[in-house]
Amino acid sequence: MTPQRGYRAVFLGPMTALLAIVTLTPFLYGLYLSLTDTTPTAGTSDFVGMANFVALVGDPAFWRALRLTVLFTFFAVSIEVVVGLALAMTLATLRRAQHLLRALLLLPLAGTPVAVFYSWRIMLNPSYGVVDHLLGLAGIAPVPWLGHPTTAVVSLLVVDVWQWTPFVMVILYGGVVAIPAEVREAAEVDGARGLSMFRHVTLPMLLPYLGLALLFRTIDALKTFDSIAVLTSGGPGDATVTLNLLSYRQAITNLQFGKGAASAILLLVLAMVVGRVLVGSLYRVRDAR
Amino acid sequence: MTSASRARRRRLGGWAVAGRVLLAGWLVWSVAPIYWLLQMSMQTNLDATASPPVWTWFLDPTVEAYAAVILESGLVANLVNSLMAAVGTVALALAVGIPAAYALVRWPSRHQRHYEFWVLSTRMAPPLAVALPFFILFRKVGLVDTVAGVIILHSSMVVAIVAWMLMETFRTVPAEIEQAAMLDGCSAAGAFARVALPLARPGIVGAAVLAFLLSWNEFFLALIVTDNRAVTGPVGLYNFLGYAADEVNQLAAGSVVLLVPAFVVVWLFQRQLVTGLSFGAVK
Repeated sequence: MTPQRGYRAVFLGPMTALLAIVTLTPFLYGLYLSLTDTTPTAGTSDFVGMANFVALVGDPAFWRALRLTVLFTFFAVSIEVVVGLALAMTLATLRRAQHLLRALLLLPLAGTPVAVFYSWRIMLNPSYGVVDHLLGLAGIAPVPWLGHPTTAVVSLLVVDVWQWTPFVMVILYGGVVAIPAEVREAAEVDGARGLSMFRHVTLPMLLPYLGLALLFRTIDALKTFDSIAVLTSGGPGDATVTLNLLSYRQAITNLQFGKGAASAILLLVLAMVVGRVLVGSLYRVRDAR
Repeated sequence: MTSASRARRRRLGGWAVAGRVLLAGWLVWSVAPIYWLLQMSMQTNLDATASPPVWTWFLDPTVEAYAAVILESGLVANLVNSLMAAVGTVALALAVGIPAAYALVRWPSRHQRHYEFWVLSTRMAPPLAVALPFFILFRKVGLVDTVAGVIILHSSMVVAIVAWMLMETFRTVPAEIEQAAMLDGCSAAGAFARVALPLARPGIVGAAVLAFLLSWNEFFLALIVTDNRAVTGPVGLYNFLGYAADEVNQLAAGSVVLLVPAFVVVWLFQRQLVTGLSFGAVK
C-alpha cells in the first residue's frame, strides 16, 4: 500500500459511493422490477421472469417507439453537429462582438426547457400562432404543426435543433480556437485553402471535440422527454411516443411498474451500446495523437 | 481593418460570407422564441391570443400576468424549492467530484478507463430507470416530495458531467508546480489544496454553474418524485398549464420568471461556462 494508493482511495471514495447509491441501486432495483409484475395497487409483486421483455418485443408499439427514438436521435444530432460546426468556425473568425454573440447564442441552451417549449407551443398554435402567421405573409398555407404525425415529429426535431445546437457549437468552438496558428500557416504555405484546409487541417484537429459533442448529444437525444411532454404529449395518436415516453406511460400513467422498468432497461442498453462505441472511437482518436 | 485581415477575407470570400449569413440568421431564430415569450408576458391575454398576432414591442407593457402568477399560482414557493435543490446538487457534486477528478488525473491506474466509462455510463440511464426505483424506495423511507429527494436524483444526473469537466481542468494544471510544492515540504494533500485547487478555480466555477443550470432546469425527475410541498419551478409551470391552459399571458409570465435566474447565471459566468463546456480549450 503506497501512500499514493491510500490517497487515491480517499479521493475516489466519496464519488464511488455516491454513484453506487444513486445509479447502481436504482439499476439493480429496476432490473428486479422488470422481472416482476409489480403495481402500486396490488399488495403483492410476483416474479414473472422475462415475461415483460417478451411482451415488449411482441408489441408493435415498442418497435415503433424504438424506430422513432433512433431516427430522431440520428437526424437531430447530425443537424446539430453540422450547423454547430459552421457556427463555431464563423464565430472563431470574428474579432469584435464575439462574447456578446456567444452569450446570445447560449440562451436557448440555458433557458429552462419547459419554459422555452411553452413559447414554441404557443408560436405553433393553429389558431393564434405567430409561425403560421409569418408563413402566411410569405404566401405559404398554414401547416398543422403539432396536429399531424409527420409535422409533429419535424416540429420536435426543429425545437431540439434550436435548443441543443449551441451546446455542440461551444464544444467545437473550443476545438477551433485551440488549433495553433502555426499549423494553419504551415498548411497555407503548402497551398491548403478553403475546403482542403478544412479537410486536412481543421477536421482532423477537431475530431476529439466532435467525438465529445457526438457522445454527449447522442446519449441525451436518446432520452428526449421534456419537449415531447410539453409540445405533443406523445400525440397526435402515438406518433411522437419515443422509448422514453413509452416507459413513462407504462410506469407512471398506467402504473405497470414492471413493464415500464423493462422498457427503461432496454433504452439503457441501447444508450450503453451507442455510448460504448462512441467512447471507444474517442479513445482511438486520442491515442492516435 | 488591417491589410492582412482584408487579404484573408478576400481569400475566404464565399465561405466567410456564408458563415456570417448563417450566424446572423441563427441569432434571430435563437432569440425569437424568447422575445415572443417576453412580449406575451407583458400583454393582456386578449392580445396574447389575438389572431393575427399583436406586436407590441414592449411599448405598452402590462404587469397583470406577472401579478397573477406571483400572487396566485404558488410558483414563487416552487422557485424556492428549485433554488434549494440546485444549491444542494452543486454542493454535493463538487464535494465528491473535485477530489475524484483530481485523483483520476494525478494518480492514474490500470483500470482507469473502465472507471471513467462507468462514471460516464451513469449519464446514460434513462431518467425513468433512475426515477422509478427511487420513487418506490422513497415511498418506503419517506423521501417522496422532499427537496432532499430531488437533490439525490439530480446528483445522479450531474455528478458524471462535473467529474468529466473537472478532469479536463486538472489536466491543464501542470503537475510540476505541485511537485515543487511537495519538495518544499507540502504533503500530497497540501499540494492539492494549496496549489492545484486555486489553479483549477475557473474550471470548478464552470462546472458549478453547469451543475446549477442542469438542476434548475430539470423537469422529468422532479415531476416523478414531487407532488406538492417540494414541487420545483418547471414542474409547477407544467402543472399550471393543466389548469390555466387558456391564460397564455400568465403561462408566458411564469416561463419568464423561470428563465430570468438561468439567464442571469449564464450572463455572469459565461466565460467559465464556455471554458468548462469546451473542456478547457477556451480560456
